[in-house]
Amino acid sequence: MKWQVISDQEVNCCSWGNEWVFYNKLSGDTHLLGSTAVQILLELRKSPLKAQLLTEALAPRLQVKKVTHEEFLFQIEHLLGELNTLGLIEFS
Amino acid sequence: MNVSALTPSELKFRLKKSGIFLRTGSFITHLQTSIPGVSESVGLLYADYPLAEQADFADFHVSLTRPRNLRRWFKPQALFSFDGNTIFKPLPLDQAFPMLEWGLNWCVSNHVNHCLIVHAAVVEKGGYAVLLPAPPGSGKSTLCAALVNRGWRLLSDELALVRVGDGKLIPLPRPVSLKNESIEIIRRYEPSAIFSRKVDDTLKGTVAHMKASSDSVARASEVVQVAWVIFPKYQAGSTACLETLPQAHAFMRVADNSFNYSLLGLNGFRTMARLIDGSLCYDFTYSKLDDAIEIFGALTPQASSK
Repeated sequence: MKWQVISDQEVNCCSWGNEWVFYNKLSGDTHLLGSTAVQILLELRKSPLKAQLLTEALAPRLQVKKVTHEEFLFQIEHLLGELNTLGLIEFS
Repeated sequence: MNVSALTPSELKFRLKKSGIFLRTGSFITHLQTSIPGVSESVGLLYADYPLAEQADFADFHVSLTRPRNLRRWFKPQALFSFDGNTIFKPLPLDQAFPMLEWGLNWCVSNHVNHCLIVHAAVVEKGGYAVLLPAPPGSGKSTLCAALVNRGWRLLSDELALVRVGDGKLIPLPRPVSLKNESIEIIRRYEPSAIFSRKVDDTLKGTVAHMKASSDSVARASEVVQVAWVIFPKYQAGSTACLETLPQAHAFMRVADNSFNYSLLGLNGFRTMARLIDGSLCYDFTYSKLDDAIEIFGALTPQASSK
């Protein structure tokens, strides 16, 4: 099951440093997202991915060393669920 | 013609009969009232404001009346009406002028949507504005009153109007609302400041309004670029401290203090982004007004704003 970001037409964002603010036109909500969530969105913008592959892509970039692969996968799945709840991503 | 061109009796007569068309910033309010206390306070605090011709369009038609009920004989009240409709429950007659001020704020915050409206004071110096968003009780109006008595121009004490499109600030200089201890603090700080009569026992405690400077009123059509977004907080005994606030966090906090950010949708987001992009953002804690004046005097806009 792959995840993808909702259409670019529906999301606007701006960033200052490594902090991003996203505006979801569909919900009318604005979200201040942390760096891991932003990395997920940026990665999914390139192409839809399964959680497992997304975790492998992000692990080196986020320099995940102190947690196991399973723990990191769990964190990513949790964040995917949150982003889905916010209406920023969906199943492809 | 300004309000000051009318004698007190002429003003009272006009307010009672046809009403006056009062220009505050870019808005015209058609105001009618037969309550003497309101007429006196309007004459005092709005003396420098232009009167529009009676045939002109008015953005808001408001009136303050005394309800014709039994209470009028033993506990008289004042009633605020907008376009002939009652908006708020009546208040004691003594609170009629503060009620007018609150009502005018309501008119703007509920009907003006060509601007992003933020609950904030705004002052300007050297062509750059400071936006001071804050919840009630933070010392925003006290700080604003002190600043405008030390050379800063008042753009607004309560409602910052950020123009959708270019993010510039549209002035809305009106009397500064002060409450409780702040009234005496500012009276002592600037003995020449002009105040309306103090009104006790309102929902906000004791309130009084301070007159905006003639210069602020005369320059009400000059839009300004915002260079700083500063969240003030009065903290007794604290040393004045300006602490950098990450812009993304400032974005969310200003949005929280906005009346119509959500209503404006994508335009609201873009306007807010432009506002924050061009601003240096800070949290500001203070206890002494002189310290605050000194720190604000040393503010320098970011290079891209110049």
